[in-house]
Amino acid sequence: MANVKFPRKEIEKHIKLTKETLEKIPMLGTPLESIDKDEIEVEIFPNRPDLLSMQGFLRAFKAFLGKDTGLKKYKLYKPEKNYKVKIYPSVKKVRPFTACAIVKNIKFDDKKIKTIIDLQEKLHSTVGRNRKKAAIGIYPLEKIKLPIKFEARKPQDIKFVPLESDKEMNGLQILQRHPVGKEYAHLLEDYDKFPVFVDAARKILSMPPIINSHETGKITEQTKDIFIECSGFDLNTLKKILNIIVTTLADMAGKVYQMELDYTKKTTTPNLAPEKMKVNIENINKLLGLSLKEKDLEKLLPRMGYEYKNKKLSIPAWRTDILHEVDIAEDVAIAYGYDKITPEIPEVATTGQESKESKIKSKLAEILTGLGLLEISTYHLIKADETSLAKKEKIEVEDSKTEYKFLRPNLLIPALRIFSENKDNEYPQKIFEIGTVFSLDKENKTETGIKESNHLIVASSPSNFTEIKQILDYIARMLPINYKIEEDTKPNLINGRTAKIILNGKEIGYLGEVHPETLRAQNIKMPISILEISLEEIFEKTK
Amino acid sequence: MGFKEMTGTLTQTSFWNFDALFQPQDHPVRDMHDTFFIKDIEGKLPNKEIVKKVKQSHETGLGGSKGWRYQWKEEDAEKVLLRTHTTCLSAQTLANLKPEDLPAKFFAIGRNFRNETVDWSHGFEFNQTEGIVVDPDANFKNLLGYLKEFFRKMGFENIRFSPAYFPYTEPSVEINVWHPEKRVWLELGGAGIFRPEVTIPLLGKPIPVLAWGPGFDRIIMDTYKIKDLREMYKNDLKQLRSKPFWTK
Repeated sequence: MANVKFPRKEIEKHIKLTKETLEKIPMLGTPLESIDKDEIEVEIFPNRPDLLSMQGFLRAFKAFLGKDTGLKKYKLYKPEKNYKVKIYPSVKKVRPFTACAIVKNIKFDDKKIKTIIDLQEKLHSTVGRNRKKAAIGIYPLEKIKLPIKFEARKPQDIKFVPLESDKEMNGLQILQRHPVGKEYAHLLEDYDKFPVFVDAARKILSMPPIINSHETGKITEQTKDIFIECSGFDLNTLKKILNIIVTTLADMAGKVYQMELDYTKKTTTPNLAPEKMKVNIENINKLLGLSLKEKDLEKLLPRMGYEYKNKKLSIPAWRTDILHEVDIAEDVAIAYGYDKITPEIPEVATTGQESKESKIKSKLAEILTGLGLLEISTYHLIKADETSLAKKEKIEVEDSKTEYKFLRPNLLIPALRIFSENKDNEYPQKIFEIGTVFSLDKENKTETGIKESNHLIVASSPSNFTEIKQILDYIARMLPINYKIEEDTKPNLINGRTAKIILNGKEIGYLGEVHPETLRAQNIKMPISILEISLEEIFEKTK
Repeated sequence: MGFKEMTGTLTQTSFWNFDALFQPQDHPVRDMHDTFFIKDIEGKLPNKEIVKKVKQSHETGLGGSKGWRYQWKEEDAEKVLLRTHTTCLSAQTLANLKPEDLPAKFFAIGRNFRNETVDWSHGFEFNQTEGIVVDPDANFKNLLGYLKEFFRKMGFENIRFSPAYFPYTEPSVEINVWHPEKRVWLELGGAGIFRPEVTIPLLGKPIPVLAWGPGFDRIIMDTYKIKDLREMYKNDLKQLRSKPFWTK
């Protein structure tokens, strides 16, 4: 998710932010997060990176409000002499593609530099997948000698002073020592050659996707003309990202020049020719439940930035999200207004049904609350030091951000934690929980390799074997089930005060008194008696 | 409202949680930072036909879609995780539906997980309710109708619909409710119509599936005037004793 802040004053040069207009902002699909006298903050969904800059947002919002509707046209200038980038086969493995442009005549000031750097950062973290899929470099043209080469070199043969540093470093040193290098080292460290942009004076401009050169890769208030490159793994994505940037710069009065890219085949970027799509109005009406006419589409689609003439749709070259006709249908609905569509439930007769499992679980909960027990609901994950309470194998999650790291093998562990956390509350404490426990799937029946079962735990404190047995009897009578118990030993329970519970010849659980040592380890002073059963057998046998 | 309950496991393969729902494999949500993956366990994929179609849907697109255009990998789909939404149950339900079962409506209620630190408004577990309507004649207008009725029954009269984004639905919609004290619109949850890239591999053809999956921790917090989400999972017995039953 990306939230972006735009200066309110700049927005208000184009749109007056009345109460009505503000209410329209979320209706475009850009929730208004906050607004004060200086700034307006909106959320941009991942499908619309073209709205991440103020210019892009304004372009869309103005059209949505009915101002400057239709496909916005931008002038592209043909490549001048040496506006060329040669891509060498050596980059194929590490970062195969780039899309480039030159933009001239921008009077960079603080604000404009901030706008463009913000946009670059937001594009990196969203469509760029944290620079993995796409990384963007922006360079002052006056420091560069054209044409440019994009090649891969051995890290020790890459030497330049990176941004925010005063020392020359080689490729490896950048990954090891430079703060940005360290952050993104994982994107290059497995390759034997790293990609670099090099100018005609053989100066290194940058080592994407990591960092630019201090000398040639920093735009300042003196900068007027810039070179832009996007590098990554999917040329189509790179072209769209480049289009998003150059149209933003064009909206800042920049003149956008194409560059000639020399792969084995030659191509030019950027290219702002709209993509064409046929629109079937019946499909759109069927999906939305509306009865729009061609005339309506001709009005609605231009308010989402499209051109629509003679049933042909032109899609802006900066839209990354149009995969299918349904994407157009949604934009039609947005232009029509979600608030103007009348909700309507069709008459479709189907029979509702709760699952058998849920019915039994609700019944159990009803029985136990009837006995005055409190239902608790605990985490499915347990802490590392709690795993010693179970003899079973451990199932661990990767990189948990909290101390809860393992799937619970039973409900006893969380129940003891709850008693421990409630030791200063009033006694008696009688609780129960119905929930899922996990073990490895030894029979190889599940797709996940993990077996899940529903368990019920009932725990009472202070209490003894007889009392917990009475609760079990009551449950059995109410369900009804016919169980047997046999004396048994269990970890964490007192020998001689423990039994296993058998239903239809199968052991489904246990009951007993918790061992004083276990209680002590949990800092619990009151005796606890407990019963824990698997509900799977009961689910199976109950009709 | 005529919905049948879907049940399913909390652990899932990435295939059902993400791939079958057209979430590209390089999507940030599939990163360890956001999702609990299970260590040292590799899952199994379902029958080859579905896997083949899901792969095609991602790589080159199905039913007129362009797809995400990247190389889809089975290894990524085999990763086992704690489900991040109950929508994976909907995907499994659709895969098991027969043409003669239509139209059909299903619901699920369940716990989901995300790898997050815990603070007053976030936790690593949360509750969600899920509903789907599988009906060849269903449309967006109907989706809004079901949502309005569903939330009315939950006690929310004054709701608003606004555009939203989910990788597996189009159109997508966000449901907001007016909070009279705070005087703001609060997010109640998301909904949409499953994309053809989702329905074609699971159902064989692009049948509209209306789907919604709002979280309801916020609803519970609001009803019980709980200010801090952590309290919901704390199980403070003194507090539990004093709470009235759910009567909405």
